[in-house]
Amino acid sequence: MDFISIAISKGRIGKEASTVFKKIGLGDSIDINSRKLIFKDEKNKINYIYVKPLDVVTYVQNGVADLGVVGKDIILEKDSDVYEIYDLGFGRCKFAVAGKKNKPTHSKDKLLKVATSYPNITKKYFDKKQQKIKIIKLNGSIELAPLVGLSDVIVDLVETGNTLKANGLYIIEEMFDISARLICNRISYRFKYDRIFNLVEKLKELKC
Amino acid sequence: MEYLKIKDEIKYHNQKYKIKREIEDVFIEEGYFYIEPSLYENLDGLESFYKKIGKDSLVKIINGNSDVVALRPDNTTNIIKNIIPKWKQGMQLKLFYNSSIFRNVNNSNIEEIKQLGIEYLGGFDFKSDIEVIVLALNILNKFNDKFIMEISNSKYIYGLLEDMNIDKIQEKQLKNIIYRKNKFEMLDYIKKLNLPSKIIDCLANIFEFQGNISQVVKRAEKFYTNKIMEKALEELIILGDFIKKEGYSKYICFDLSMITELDYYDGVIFKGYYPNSFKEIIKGGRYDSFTEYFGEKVSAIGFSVELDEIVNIINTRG
Repeated sequence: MDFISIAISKGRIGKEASTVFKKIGLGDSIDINSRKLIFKDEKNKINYIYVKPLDVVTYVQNGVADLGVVGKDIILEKDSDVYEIYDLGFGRCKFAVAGKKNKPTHSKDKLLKVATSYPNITKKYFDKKQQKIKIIKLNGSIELAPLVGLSDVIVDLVETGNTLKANGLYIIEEMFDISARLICNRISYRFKYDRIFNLVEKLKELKC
Repeated sequence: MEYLKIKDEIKYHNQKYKIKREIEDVFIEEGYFYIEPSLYENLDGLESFYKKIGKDSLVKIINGNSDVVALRPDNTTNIIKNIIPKWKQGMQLKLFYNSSIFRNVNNSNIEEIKQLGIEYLGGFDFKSDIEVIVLALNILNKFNDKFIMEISNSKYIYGLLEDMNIDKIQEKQLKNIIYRKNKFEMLDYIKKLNLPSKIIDCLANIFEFQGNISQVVKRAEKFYTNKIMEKALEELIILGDFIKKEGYSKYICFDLSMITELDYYDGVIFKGYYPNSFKEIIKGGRYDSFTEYFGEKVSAIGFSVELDEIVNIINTRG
């Protein structure tokens, strides 16, 4: 039997994924605290690969991994050609536009400046609303941008809203909900259909 | 690190040339004649067929008359456009081409995709379906005997959409979700569309309509069908029988939820894959109504072969 490779997002989603795989009796070889990047499960013939979220999609699309566990935010941000076969249910949060409290977001005659680490999602969203914007791409601590005057608003993932609150920001508009997804390479889906199907069935049982 | 030497590069080119010749020989043996598509494509009115690949991915240039034209984004359109207006009833044409198509990929790089392919025009529907699919199977079998061909009939989903009364944007969205086999989001999305429960049930189970032909028919029959969808299934059953006779059954996977990149197919559609490659090796289908767009409805079916991808898998195999 061939190995199945699963690329998993490092970080919070990766942790939860390891718990879920352990619950269905598969993830025993994963040791989150180790510095190893590949965990081999010889018994079940599964390789788990821990990589950065954006790279999960790249790994799966190029067939280096058959399956991937990654947040919907990444799937939306990165235009990709993969199947999204299951909603894992964890890693729930939402995309939102946030800004400073009690302050007009921007004056009417100016372009709305939006700071985000998700430029594609942001562009699509405001295009739909027919709002002209200027995107300022940041790689973290997005909440800082409106405070220091770098942008009028931000577009970011909100889980509890605590970071926003602590920085005096509030949600102006909720965009959409996201959660962790199981993605699948299109060709692996064909060649390893039964095994992938069985895995999804096990995950479904767990949820019920 | 050792970099590519001239010798290696020439070796690679020649290997590619050899494979190209091999495939061309098969085409010629089967009675296909060579045709050369033109490099430019006038886009007027053709945008709707490139919906899925998106306007951004067309490589556009401005010619001397300030018209915007595209470097050919696919070969079939180009060939059909030139031939159909001169079509005479009763003609039968078997054509093959060997030419690149061009697409914009991420970060504004232009990708040149080398394709070989055939178009069978004016054939008898079933006979040409089978002939073309068997030819595709033979080519797949030539380079690796572990392959899978996915087959469906685009009339199935088309028929289902017909009875939904949704607008073009919703249709595109729904097709996108089906393409990504995203059952979860689909269930969510169709709730909003106010569809009859019979159609919802059918959509909710559409990803299970795959396997061998009898499995697929058995599963799909339990759910909503209309005349168009029934016809689609009937055609697939006949096709399944013929494939069985050719001894290729074990390589085939029927999948009614199949969606194609180009939107002009209206009949059998198919894609061929190899296990060690991550792109379609062969893709094609029937597109009679596309010819109608250029003046006359002609029986038409064809496929293209990704040459570079075949060379790659042969190289990785060593």
